[in-house]
Amino acid sequence: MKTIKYIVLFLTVVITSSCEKVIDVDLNDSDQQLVIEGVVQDDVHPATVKITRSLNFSQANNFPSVNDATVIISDDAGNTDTLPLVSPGVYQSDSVLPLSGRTYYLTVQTGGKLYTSKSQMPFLVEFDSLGMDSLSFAGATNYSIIPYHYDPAGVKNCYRYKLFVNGQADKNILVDNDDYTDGKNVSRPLFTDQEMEPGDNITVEMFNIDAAVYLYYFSLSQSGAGPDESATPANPVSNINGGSLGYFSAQTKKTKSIIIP
Amino acid sequence: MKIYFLIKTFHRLKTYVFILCMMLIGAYADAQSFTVSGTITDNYSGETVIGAAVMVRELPGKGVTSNEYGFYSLTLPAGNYTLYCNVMGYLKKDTLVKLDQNLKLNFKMRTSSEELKEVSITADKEVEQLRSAQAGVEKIDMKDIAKVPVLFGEKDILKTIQLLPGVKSAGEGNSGFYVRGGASDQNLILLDEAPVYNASHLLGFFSTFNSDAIKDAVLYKGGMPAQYGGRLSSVLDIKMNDGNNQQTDVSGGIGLISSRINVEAPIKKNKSSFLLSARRTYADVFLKLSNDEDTRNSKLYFYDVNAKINYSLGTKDRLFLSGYFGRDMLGLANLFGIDWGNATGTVRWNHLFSDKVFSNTSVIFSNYSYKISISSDDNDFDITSSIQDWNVKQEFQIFPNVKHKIRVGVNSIYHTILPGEISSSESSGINDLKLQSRFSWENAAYYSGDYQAGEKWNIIYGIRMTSYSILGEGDFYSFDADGNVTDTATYGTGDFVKTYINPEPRLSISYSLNKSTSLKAGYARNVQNLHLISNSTATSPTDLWLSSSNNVKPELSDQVSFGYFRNFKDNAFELSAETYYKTMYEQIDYRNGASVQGNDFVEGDLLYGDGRAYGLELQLKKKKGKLSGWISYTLSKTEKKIDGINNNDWYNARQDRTHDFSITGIYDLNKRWSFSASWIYYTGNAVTFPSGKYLLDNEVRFLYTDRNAYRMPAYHRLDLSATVYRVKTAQKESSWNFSLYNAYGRENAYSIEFKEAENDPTRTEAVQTALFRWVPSVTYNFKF
Repeated sequence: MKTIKYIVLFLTVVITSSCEKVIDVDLNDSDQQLVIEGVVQDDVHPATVKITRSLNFSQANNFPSVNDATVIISDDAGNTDTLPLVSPGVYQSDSVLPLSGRTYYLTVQTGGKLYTSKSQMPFLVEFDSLGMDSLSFAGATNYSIIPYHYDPAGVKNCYRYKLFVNGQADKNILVDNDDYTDGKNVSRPLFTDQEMEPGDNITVEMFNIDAAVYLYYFSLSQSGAGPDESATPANPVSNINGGSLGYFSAQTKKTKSIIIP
Repeated sequence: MKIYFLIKTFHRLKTYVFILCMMLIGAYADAQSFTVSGTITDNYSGETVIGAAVMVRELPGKGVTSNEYGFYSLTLPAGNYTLYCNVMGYLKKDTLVKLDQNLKLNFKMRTSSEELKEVSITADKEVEQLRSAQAGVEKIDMKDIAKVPVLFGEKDILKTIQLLPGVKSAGEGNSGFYVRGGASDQNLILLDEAPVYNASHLLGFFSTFNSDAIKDAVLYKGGMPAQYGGRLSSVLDIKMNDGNNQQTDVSGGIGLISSRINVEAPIKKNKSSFLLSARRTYADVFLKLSNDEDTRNSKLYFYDVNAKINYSLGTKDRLFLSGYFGRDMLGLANLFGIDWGNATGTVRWNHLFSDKVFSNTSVIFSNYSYKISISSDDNDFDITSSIQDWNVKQEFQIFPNVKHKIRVGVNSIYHTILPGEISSSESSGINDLKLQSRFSWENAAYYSGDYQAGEKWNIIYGIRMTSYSILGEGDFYSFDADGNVTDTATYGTGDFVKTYINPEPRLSISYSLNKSTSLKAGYARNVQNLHLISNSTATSPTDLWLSSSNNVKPELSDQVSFGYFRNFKDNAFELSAETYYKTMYEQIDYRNGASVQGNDFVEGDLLYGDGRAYGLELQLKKKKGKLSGWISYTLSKTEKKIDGINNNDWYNARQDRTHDFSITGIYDLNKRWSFSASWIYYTGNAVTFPSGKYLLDNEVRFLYTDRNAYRMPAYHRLDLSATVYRVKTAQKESSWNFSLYNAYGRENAYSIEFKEAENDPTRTEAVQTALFRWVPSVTYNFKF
């Protein structure tokens, strides 16, 4: 429920003008942790696994890449591919065949440890069209972007969206499932605080993801905000066993664009 | 049908209790003694006076206090006595009685005018506070509430109690509170005996209690007497005014944010009266001035109404009918709306079985509900949710002799929880959904005694037996360790799914070292069967109430406390030092990524563990003179240990604050001017901040290690208020109140967010958001 965010936003506008400032917070250091980002996707992209390490908060954002890992993706049809390192921290292979309904297994071996995961590529749900709506409030016009699709009845469907405004990626984590919309024509607006104006080129990528990846992104979105606004922050629920951060997702992808009139 | 069954069972129980009472009375019968009893009322308004001391001149230190209906009963050996009644702010008058038979004696108390205020206060009442065995209790003076400065100038009982030791504010300008390490859902808040499930308006910036309608408020922080039960950490017992039965009174206030009006009048003089009190905020009026349509169509206000009627049926019976209704309305254009609020109703019947046996029967209704409406072209739907109680209660108060007071009672509550229902139109893109309603039946029987054992010892002892039954119909699930359903059991309407029975012993003892010093100790066990599951750390109207079930066990707590109490300078100063240690069991949290709303399997996402809280509370109060007020300081620690969180290690609860200090002063300069100020300082809440960062999907994400291992910055704030009276008599009053919240404009952190640095994207920085700097307000109050 985004209700609370709505209310907080609303009250903040009406009752008070809050003030923001940058402060110094003395944060502890943490042990470097492994981050695995594995994607098998049904478009032209090859299967990609990125492996990096975490940093302390105060360090500059030069995340160290892990280049000595053994990365294998296999599937339930008996295929096995070893992904070679193609650039720092990036392992890729064209020979992993992306097919809906197939389950993919990931194993990563590095630093004497084994990390495993699996993900089933969902059946494709067509991305019907992209629309928009506008609302004027307190002198400003806010636009909301609405992806339209028909949700197949009787199966669990999970969706992830990526929004781009003039090519710039929106930072919000946008995920949804069919808990409330099973078998319906779905037209739920994307919940973002992104500012948009007439003439902006809006692109939305829609991914069908499996339930474990949905839980990963949903828990990531819950723990992302400031300490007073959301649940107590915590690391997202990863579908990778072995103690790494990140996720492994076999997913489908469709893209649509519009221009704000 | 269910209600009928409930009432029938209750009647049977009531008969047993009555027989028990009669047996008790028999045991105390004494041929040499007679009883003087009656009601204590305010001469001007006819309002009954709670907690007034009826004292005997010939027997110093002997006396009784009036109960919550103003009734007292005093049994003494035959003889001649001089009785007087003593209440703060009222004149004392001696009454001679010849006690050779049972007597009725009603006291009509006259308010002391300002000049007489000093003399009218004598020691008895204050010594009563010192001598009573009850520790961890705060009686809130409604006159102080009118003077203490608060946000938006809206006097508020919940914000005033946050200035007391052991009570912590849930956040900036928030009416939510934590008592001795307990969570905010562990406070039992009663309005004329009806539990109020959500005591806040506008996300906590206001409380649901309109001060105009309130007569009395008592907060028990520990060792609560056995007549109270159902929550772990505290009881806030609020009683509404009955309504003036002497003359018509109209009072009210006009403020920047809200206005209120209070009307009370006799229906039949001396016999019956009514009270009607209402208020509404009008921030939304400004929205109407906007020139864009969406803004004009937005809503933002709340209102509440308190009403009460009472009727005396002869000298032995009195009927009360009271109710509260409040609603918050919030709407964003025609797209999104949410409204929420409480409704409570209480019917009470006081009956005197004899001079020594006072009976009260109550039927209580309480409901909290919210409704969210979304309407856009293709997505229109409503979400509704509610929690509702039907509650019957029978209590006997027995006054066998001057040393002993007994309460025995039974209480039966039928709870219905509708966790959520979505209804949508045919064409909507959203499906209808109805989560299973949950039914439960809570029963309690209690016995509580207040006994004066000799000159120095006072004891309050009691036991409360609680049973909590979860009833069908519905499907009840079993879960494995990961929260997946392993089994489903289906029950029919009225089937017993599970029953929990818990004894709750309570004991408080005081020992007077001398006339001005006493020591107190207490122990209490509390049980809680309704749990609030919140997926945000701020209070939210959509938080989910969950009943104990086959999976969720009753929360338990044990608290021991010790206190040292001392009065100085002819009782002008009161010093208290109290310590407590509280252990809590079966505390509830939930898994990361859990969906709290719209989830029939929410119990599978819950995690359980223990809590512990301990602390020291110091308070120095000045009650007499032109300058009055109090200083309070709390040193405390609150921790939790939940299976599945923080590697199963102890961690700081969010409300864990090491130091909490406040000073409140009220200065009555002269008849016209009164000033007040309060300054608050507390250690920041325990929060979880990142200990590292990593890159994911080309975005920087944060790495968390220990839960609640960091602190928000320390919070401090000064509030000022001034009141000028233009007219002030018993009948008429008109005054202006000016207040300034956060007078030196401290930017207190409301939240801290971590994000990419604006001028250097390779770095990450912490950004603090502060609310409310220098909030001035002005209110005009009147009474005619």
